[in-house]
Amino acid sequence: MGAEAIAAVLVMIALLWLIVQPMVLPGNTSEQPDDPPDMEETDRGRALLALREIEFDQATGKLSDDDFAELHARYTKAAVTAIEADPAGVTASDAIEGMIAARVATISDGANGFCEQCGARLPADAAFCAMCGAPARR
Amino acid sequence: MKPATKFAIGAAVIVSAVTLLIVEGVRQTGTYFLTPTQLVERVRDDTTFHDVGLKVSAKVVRGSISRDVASRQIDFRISDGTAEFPVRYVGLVPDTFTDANDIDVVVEGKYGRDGVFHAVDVIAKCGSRYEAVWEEPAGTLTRR
Amino acid sequence: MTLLGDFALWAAMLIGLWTAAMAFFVPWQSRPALATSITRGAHAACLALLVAAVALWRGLFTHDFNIEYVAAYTARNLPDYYLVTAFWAGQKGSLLFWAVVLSIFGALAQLLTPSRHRDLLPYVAGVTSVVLAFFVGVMLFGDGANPFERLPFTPPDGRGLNPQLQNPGMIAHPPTLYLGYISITIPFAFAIAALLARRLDTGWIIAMRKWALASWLFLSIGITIGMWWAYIELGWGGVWAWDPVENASLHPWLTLTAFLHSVMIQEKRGMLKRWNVGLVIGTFLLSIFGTFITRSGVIASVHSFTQSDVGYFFLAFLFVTAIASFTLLYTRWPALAPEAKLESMLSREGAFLYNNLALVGIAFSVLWGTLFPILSEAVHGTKISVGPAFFNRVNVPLGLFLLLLTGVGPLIAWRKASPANLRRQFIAPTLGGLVTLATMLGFGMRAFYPLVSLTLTGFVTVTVIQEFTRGVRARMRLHAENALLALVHLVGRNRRRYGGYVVHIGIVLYFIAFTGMAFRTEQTVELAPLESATIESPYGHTYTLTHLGVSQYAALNRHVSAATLDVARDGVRIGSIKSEKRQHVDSFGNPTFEPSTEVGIRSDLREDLYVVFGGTPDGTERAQYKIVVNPLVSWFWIGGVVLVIGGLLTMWPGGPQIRAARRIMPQAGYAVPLASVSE
Repeated sequence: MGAEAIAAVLVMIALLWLIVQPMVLPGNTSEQPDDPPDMEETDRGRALLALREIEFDQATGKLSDDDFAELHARYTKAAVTAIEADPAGVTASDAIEGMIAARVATISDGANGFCEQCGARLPADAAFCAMCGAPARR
Repeated sequence: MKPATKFAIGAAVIVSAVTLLIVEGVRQTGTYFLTPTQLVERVRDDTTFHDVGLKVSAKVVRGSISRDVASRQIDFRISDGTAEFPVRYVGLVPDTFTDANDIDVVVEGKYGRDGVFHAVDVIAKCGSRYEAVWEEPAGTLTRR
Repeated sequence: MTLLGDFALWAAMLIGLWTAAMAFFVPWQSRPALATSITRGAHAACLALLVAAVALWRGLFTHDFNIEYVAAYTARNLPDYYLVTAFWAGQKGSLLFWAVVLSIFGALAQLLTPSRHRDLLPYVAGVTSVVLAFFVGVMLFGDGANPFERLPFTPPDGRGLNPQLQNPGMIAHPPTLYLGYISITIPFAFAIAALLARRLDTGWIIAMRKWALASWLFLSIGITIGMWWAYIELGWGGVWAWDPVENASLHPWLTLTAFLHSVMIQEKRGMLKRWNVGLVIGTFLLSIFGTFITRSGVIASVHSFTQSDVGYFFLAFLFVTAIASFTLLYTRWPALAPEAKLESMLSREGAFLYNNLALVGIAFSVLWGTLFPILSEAVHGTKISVGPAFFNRVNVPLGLFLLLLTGVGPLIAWRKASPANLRRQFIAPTLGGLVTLATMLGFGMRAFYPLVSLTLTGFVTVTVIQEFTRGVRARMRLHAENALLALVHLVGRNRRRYGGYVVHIGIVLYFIAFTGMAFRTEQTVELAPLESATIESPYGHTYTLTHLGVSQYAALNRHVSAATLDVARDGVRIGSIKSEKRQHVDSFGNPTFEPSTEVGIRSDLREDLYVVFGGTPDGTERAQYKIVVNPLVSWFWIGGVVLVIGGLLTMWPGGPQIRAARRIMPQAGYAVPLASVSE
């Protein structure tokens, strides 16, 4: 009985301390920087993810070339808009992403194709395949 | 046609299909779930009720079970305190089916014109079994 | 230890009420110290309830039969591991178990959520604290619901554990199911927190979606283990009886499955926000409703739980929560407007919308059937009940429609699809379905629903295989990876998508197993020693079972009558099968509980031979048996394992990363003109 009462008192002190401690001894806990948001939480990230998905859907044959071009152009624009709207939030890799996305958009508008040798995607202005070095023939 | 309109049409088809399935399902498979008193009253008012398959929820009358080994036939009586009638069932019953301590039972079948409920299924419940009041056995340790 | 236990319960309830009051009624937004203090409430309540749990387990392990709960559910001769599980064997312990787990989840939600969601976290703590205070309150104020209640005397031995609970399945079944029910509270808490904080972007969804997945996974495991337990312990030879208590676990599973699909539309397109919040609230309410059904005895069920006024606490809680949540949703209605419109019905969004309707439709029909006795009595004054026949009639077609969508959805691109591409996607899966159909027809199967079901399972399986192979091929082409590396990266970088496909395969296996149930055969026989019975398997072979005899012996806490049958398939002996009747006894040798039955099962991938010993009439050497041939039952358990693997894949830590995105385009051959970005 006695031991139980002591245990109960100890538990009560621990509980009260847990709740009261942040108020009486406010540390600098809230000063830690926040971890960066997930890609899906930002407009930029969502647009980039959408671009990734559109690429992949085309690669697996789900999107027709027309739909691909239209969707791709739209989401590239969305990504660029998002980056322009919030340039401060752009990390180095994000910036590269956006450039790639924008670049891809311009390429995609042109005659796009695949290497006959190895199947890698060829940019519109490529003379040779970047993957295997074969001359680009389309 | 706008996508939203197309979706609404599809949604309406699904919702009505679900509704139809539920209504038809209840109409064709719903069975009356009665107490013995309700059943006895119903049958008195309308004798065609003898031919309707239904379920009855009641308690097994203590000591009323008799088993015929050869034919695996079990006869017992059920009651809700007011009405009581015999039940006949052929087959294996669950372990929980006894006439020892007022167990709840649900029988499914037809209440025949011979006054016997011919069950096709017997489900025994064992709700109140070990929630009996604790009785202090003689000579046990007393509270410390 | 009851003093400490009681104290811990009171402490947990007061902390819960305090935390909730501070979270909801005190402006903490501008006071970080207060906000931290509120979130600490979740940790403090967890600590208090852990103390209570230790107190109860101590009572169980020290055989302190002066505690009513210990005396009611354990005995001195109960094996030690069942002392652990006796914690949740009865209603009081289940309530405590529920509260303990909820408090752990509540604390984990605070610990694991990234700090950028800190304007949600105090609200989350508030919601979990309210639910927690409710459960602890039921224990403290409910009629005979306090697990630490003492008896006025000490019985020399306890009454022991219900033999149906003395089974490995029962060790895992209630806890996993509870874990599922309970963990829904966390997504619910995040939904309410987002509504209160008016943070209605996708942030709250991302903060809680792993919880929703975990909850779904626990529910799936709990339901599957429940099926297994019913199969080997209840002795009627089936896995799912559409009993109200079983249905109660299915409702939240269905709405949660719907949510896991529709939430993707919100993440990608900013649509369906209202629907998703509604689904989360609905799922939580259905899990509380399930507790109400199992605890109140309002609906007749074969599951025997204690019936007490505790159920009505849950009903009241259900109504209050429903009104409060939906009122809150209503006040935030305009803020939850969709950001985009559906572009085309021919898109994955379209398929998901129908999948949601079908899932919610099934959930509604099951709920309707479960509640029908009450509804009909209220409307007509006569109770009308619907049984398995109703649920099968309604849900078989809906389930098959859902299975069709399981195959169709993955084939369609997000946003919009072109009919020409779609046709190409459908060629292989359709062929897969047709080949399955032709094979089954060739085997002589003529039943309509099983044929449809198996055709669709073929269709869905080929869909999933095609998704994997095309994905691997695309990666091999785009990234010049070998097949294995491509597969690893494909799954690793799109865990939810490909984990989801693995789950689909698990679901396909469940459907195959359910289809097998349509071909079960059973018969009841009574055999003298060395007399034989034959039963035909749907595959065409014949089992001959010869009754060898009944042996009787005493085990640790029971008397056993074991009946043995020799089994031959088409005249060739393949082994023996044993089924037992057990009479449990306490440590003084007095019988406790009614006799229970251990079924005998011979299982292989094709079918189970399932034997139930019905007893020996009046001490003769004869034995009564129920003999069942259950085709394809093993596939339930295999499907369960596949489903868990898929579920774990989707939950594996790590989301889409910038690093991964960078490798989409290995344009190594030319320089990116940096200036073009600002064009």
